[in-house]
Amino acid sequence: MNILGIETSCDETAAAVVADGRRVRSNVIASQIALHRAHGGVVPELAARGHVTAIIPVVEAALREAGIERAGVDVVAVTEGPGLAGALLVGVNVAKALAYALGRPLVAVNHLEAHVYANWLMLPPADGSSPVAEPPPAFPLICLLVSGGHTELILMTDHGRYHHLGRTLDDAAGEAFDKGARLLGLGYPGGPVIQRVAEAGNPSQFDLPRAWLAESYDFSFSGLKTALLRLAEPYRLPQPSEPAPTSGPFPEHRAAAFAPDAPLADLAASYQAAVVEVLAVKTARAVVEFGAKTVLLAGGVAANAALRARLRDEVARRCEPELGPVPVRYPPPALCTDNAAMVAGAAFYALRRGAQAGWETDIHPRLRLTGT
Amino acid sequence: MSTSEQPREARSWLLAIDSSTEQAGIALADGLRCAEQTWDAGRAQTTALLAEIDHLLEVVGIGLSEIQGVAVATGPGTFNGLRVGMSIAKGLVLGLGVPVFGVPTLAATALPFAATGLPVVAVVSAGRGRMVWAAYGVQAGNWSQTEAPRNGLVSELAADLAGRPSGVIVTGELNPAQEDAVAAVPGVLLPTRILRLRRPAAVAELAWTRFRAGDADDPVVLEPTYLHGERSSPSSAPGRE
Ligand SMILES: [Zn+2]
Repeated sequence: MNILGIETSCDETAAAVVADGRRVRSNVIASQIALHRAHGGVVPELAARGHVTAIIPVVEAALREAGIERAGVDVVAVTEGPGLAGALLVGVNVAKALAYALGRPLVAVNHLEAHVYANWLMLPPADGSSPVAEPPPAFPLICLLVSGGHTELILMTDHGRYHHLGRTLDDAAGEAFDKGARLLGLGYPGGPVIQRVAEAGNPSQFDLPRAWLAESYDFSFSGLKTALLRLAEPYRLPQPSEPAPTSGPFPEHRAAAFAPDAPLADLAASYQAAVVEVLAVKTARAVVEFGAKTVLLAGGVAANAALRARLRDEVARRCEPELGPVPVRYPPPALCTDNAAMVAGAAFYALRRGAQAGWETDIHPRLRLTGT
Repeated sequence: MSTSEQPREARSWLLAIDSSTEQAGIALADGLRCAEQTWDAGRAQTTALLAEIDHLLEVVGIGLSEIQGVAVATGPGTFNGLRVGMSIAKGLVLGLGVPVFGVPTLAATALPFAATGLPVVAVVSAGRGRMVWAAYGVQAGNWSQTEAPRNGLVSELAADLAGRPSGVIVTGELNPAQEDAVAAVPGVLLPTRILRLRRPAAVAELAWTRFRAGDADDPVVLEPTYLHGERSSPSSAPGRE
């Protein structure tokens, strides 16, 4: 069964074809990063405008790369939320009309669930051979979903059965990286740039606070950001007095400037270590408490190498004495950030549960992952 | 089928979509017949529009395969409203493999009054109390837009109208307060509220010649007119001295 997935919840316009919930036949992403970089973050109105002109070429490329015609699409799946309203409604309305025109079922997918299901996907090997079928993740599992918009700790006991354990009370992990990078004048998006700069730094050089929020699986990163600002302040150069340039109606962001002797690498490494430690320790604790058989990482921040390493360490140290080996799995980088293959993948399992959407399907900008 | 019934000739139907504002509209036209529906969709255009298109097809008794083109109002209007119609249009042309025709919302607003020969100022709500308007009239024997669109508050529209010769028709959506402000301008001809509503049939009508000629828009680059997002204070608006 070929499912065409469409994803427009934030700043990536994406379409993909996935066979039977796991085999990625194409995965096309038109990134708007260049468009938003000048503003230091995603401008919702610009994102929505970008989707309108990117959507047709992206869908056509996904069909072409999968080697199928329109008629070869068996199901159309689309992200219904959470996300930016103006961005979501482009994907949802295009997908609805496309499914209607093709006479195919429509499946509306929760973006958070889609991220989790990225761990079921198999990319075709570069040499064109068919992918080796990895066994699917075993239940029950703990999934740490970390991205620019979300930080969620989820217990999943079966397909479609989620128990929400914790979430961020303020900034998402990816947002914490974006804001940290912005404070250090490193650019956007923050996760990759902090990771790169941190490679040359000492993660224990600066003592940054960890918000443990005892007895809870919730997270908080806003205090950390304030502490970083205080540490970085003495090295900051004054801002020029002329106003920031503008591109069209939206103001541009001006990067902070630092003295040449500023310990940016140590600051970045210490900051990254503080974010990563809380994420890894809480996830490992949940694995022990619920006797999980698998640990999944998902979302854009799952591509962070320091997080992956720390999570493996914590799981090995805290879980294996009691539970034996617990595999820590994460999708390949192309499937960690927002993509449509994960939407098509999640739709396959949702459709098996009868989750077909009607033509009145709406967007759900504040959708959460709940239900069993 | 009974022998007394004429077998319906398979025709090319054009589907027109207008979700420029909360007043949504859809129409099906084949050059002879037209079915249209216009309703206050509020913010619920995403939930309503495709379901209503499905319903209208059923009412007219035609299948999707008889839709040979899609016309869509391109704005100005509310940004998200415009994007809903544009996205539905793009999904349909992608799935059906038929051409798309973008129609300016203000042109469709003005069209029903073209035969009067009088100058027409067409108005569309742009949300948050702002409005966009443009003048239409006969120019070199043709009905066309005679001035570039302006955007502003109703007080600015009223000041604009006050500077025009008597006998200008103002049409389009106005809320009661805006209606009072416009009606107070001497020389303005204000049709009744229901007759001022944009008609999706006008969107179909304006696309019809291009539809017959195969003069379609590129569905990839077609996008709404984001007029009031740009700088367009009265002093910088072109076309007015
Ligand atoms: Zn995401």
